[in-house]
Amino acid sequence: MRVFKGTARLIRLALRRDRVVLPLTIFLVVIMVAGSIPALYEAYPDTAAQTSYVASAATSSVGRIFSGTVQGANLGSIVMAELYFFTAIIVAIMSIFIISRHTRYNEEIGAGEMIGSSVTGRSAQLSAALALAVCANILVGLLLFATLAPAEGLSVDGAALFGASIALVGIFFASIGAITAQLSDYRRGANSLAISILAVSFLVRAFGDALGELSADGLSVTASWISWLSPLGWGYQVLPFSEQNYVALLLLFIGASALILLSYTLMKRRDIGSSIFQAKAGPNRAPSYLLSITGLGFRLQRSQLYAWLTAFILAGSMITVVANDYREAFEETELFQELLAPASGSFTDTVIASMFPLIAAMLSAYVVATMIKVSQEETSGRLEQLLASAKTRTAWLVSNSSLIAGGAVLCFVVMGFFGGISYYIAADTPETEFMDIVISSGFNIPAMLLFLSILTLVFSVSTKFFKSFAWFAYAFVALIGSFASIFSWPQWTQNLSPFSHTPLYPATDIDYGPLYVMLILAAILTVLSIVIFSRRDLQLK
Amino acid sequence: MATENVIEIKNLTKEFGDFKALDELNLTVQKGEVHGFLGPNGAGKSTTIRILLGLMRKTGGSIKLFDEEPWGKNVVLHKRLAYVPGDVNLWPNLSGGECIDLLADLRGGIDEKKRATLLKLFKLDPTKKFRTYSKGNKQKVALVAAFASNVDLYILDEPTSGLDPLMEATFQEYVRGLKSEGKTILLSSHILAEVEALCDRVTIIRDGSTIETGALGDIQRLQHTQFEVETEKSAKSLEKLSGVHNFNQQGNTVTFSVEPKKLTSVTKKLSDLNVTHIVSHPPKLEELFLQYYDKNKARKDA
Repeated sequence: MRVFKGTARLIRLALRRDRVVLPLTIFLVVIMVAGSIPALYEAYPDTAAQTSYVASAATSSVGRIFSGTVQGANLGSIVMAELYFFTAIIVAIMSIFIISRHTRYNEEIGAGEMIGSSVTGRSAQLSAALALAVCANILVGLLLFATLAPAEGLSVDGAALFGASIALVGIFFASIGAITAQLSDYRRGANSLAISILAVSFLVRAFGDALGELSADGLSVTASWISWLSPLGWGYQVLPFSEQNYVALLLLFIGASALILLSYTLMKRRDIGSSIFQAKAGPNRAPSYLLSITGLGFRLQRSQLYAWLTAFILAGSMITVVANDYREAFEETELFQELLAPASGSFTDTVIASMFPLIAAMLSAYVVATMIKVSQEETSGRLEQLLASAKTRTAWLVSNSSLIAGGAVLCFVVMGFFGGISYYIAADTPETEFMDIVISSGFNIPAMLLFLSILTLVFSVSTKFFKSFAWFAYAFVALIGSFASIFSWPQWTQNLSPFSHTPLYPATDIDYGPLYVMLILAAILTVLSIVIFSRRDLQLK
Repeated sequence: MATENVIEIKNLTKEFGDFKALDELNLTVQKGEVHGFLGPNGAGKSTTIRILLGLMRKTGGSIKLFDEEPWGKNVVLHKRLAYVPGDVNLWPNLSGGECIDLLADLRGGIDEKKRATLLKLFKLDPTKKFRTYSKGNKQKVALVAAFASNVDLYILDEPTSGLDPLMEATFQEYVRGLKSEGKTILLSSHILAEVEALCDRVTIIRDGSTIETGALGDIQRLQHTQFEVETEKSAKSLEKLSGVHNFNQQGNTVTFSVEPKKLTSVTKKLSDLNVTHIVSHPPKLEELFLQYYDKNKARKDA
């Protein structure tokens, strides 16, 4: 087959380029599943604990949205409810990124043209990317099978179906990525289009599951037909530990195959470097708001900010509704008693106060991703152009980090606000004050600003290792928040994360002390960053 | 009237760790001149410009831009200059027009009339997204942004490497216009014909050091003159004369170059050979450049 000539060679090239990020992603997915299994045993050791959890998940709207349709009081239900959602989302995003990196991005930087001019077939680049994505997903599936199969209370064939379902969801979204890479003329456009499709299929599945029918014993839910409109719904409806629905697997397989065939057709109909959708024309003149360092910074950060605001709103609503709906399940579990704050307030006070800092640590990816984007202004050479104009480095650094800080403040206020609203909608007799929810969320602002100022300081010293440092720091704070108490790591590891120092209001009295300390530290580090940044050479090609 | 120096660089050094990027570099640009800044790849042209713009710090020597040390003086100094880098990389999602407005405004303002004229002159469509422009069009965006700003000094780092010959001519015409307005231009370029056509004075650097600077004519005068001569008698004897180089014979025609000091003795000898045709010209910049390059290499090898 001449059109495929060179595919094997290009697969080796792709493997070489992804030799760090791909194994790391796969490792993280598997280790999070493997690490959660003992925690789930500990939290839900017997039928009584499992029953109260499943009963809450079956009746709670948020439970249905994030956990899907539970199938009776057993460990399989809980594994699906707790682990399927995040595993599926991560493999889907991983697959989308693999495809765009090795197809559209190659063309964007001109490498696609050079590869195309060598002895390679027309289909080689797309085929190499798809082959890599398919293999990566099969590997994830096999590793998940190996992780879950020995677990007590889970069947071996269930574990196999869980792995197969996750792998096929990943392959399905690789095929979506293969389509969007033909449609959009640049990588970020292709990625955001594919991720929007992922978000829509999540929403359709969530809506369908929320409308599902509750069984007579209140421990099982049958999804409504709407869930069957979503590829994520098919993945979930494989129901590996109960019904074992092979039709859902087949749907994923047929869907992915059809989309892959379509992506080849689209690819053959376009020229290398071009796309099915043409880039829209922009304005001749710049709007006046754009004509400043801050205006430009806002323009460059705004689409990210809107996406993160949505994430904060969802997270806020989820926390408060879970605090209300899962009340019984939580009250009966010893593990949660350990995890939750030393309580003096009501039960929902305690859950809300403990959950906000955990979620804040997870969502600190917002400042990490945005600060990395800002740092790329320097490495791309665009900062050179800006600073060759009559603007100072200090002005540039201050306006960009202020924009991120302002975005973070907005995110927490909005998270508290929507958390409060959702709670008052969900709760029959609210026992936590609305403003207390907003304040509890807002109390995470100093920790977030401190985290941002640490990132800024490292960036001000050098851009060289900034990106790796930033993601490493993120992995640390995100994992510390969730796992340190579960695995009883020493206290000092927890103390390293700013989010461990947020006062657990409203479960405890207001204590401004740590907030002031964190704000002052953040201010000192920011000033230090400005001084260091204004003294170093720009990193230029 | 005393000439005023816009740029004055003396014995500038810049080290990156153990690597000496600039080693005692000298460069003087006078007000109102177009100054060519030449050197092979990696010679240190861009590093010099970045120190001049206050983006990098010097290690030693002195550097003056409008009579001031540039480090930390962005706001004052950069209002008076516009910079076009060799590798133009702007915001992929902004339109060309937005990039032009933004860059000119951050320098202190845009000349609306010039903006409109320049867009027409360079045939640039400002409504396309920056990422969709070709290399040449990306350079045009930076050029229009620079020329539409009202400044005294233009620093152009290989600004025309992606332009077609028609646009190259437009560029040269525009630069001549700027010069007649009394503007100063520092032009780093590999297109030597462009430098010959535009520059009053040139500075040639290699390995971070200045190896020649001055008016193009003066430099050429210091160098070997090229001869192409057709004679009735055999010109073979010329090869042995001192001061004659690169001798080449093809039938009755010989080509060679002569050191300035030996011109009298060589031409005297020539007149005895019954010359039927003679062409003599100063070295082209390209020849000069290659000469310096080889000389330097020879010195280094020794």
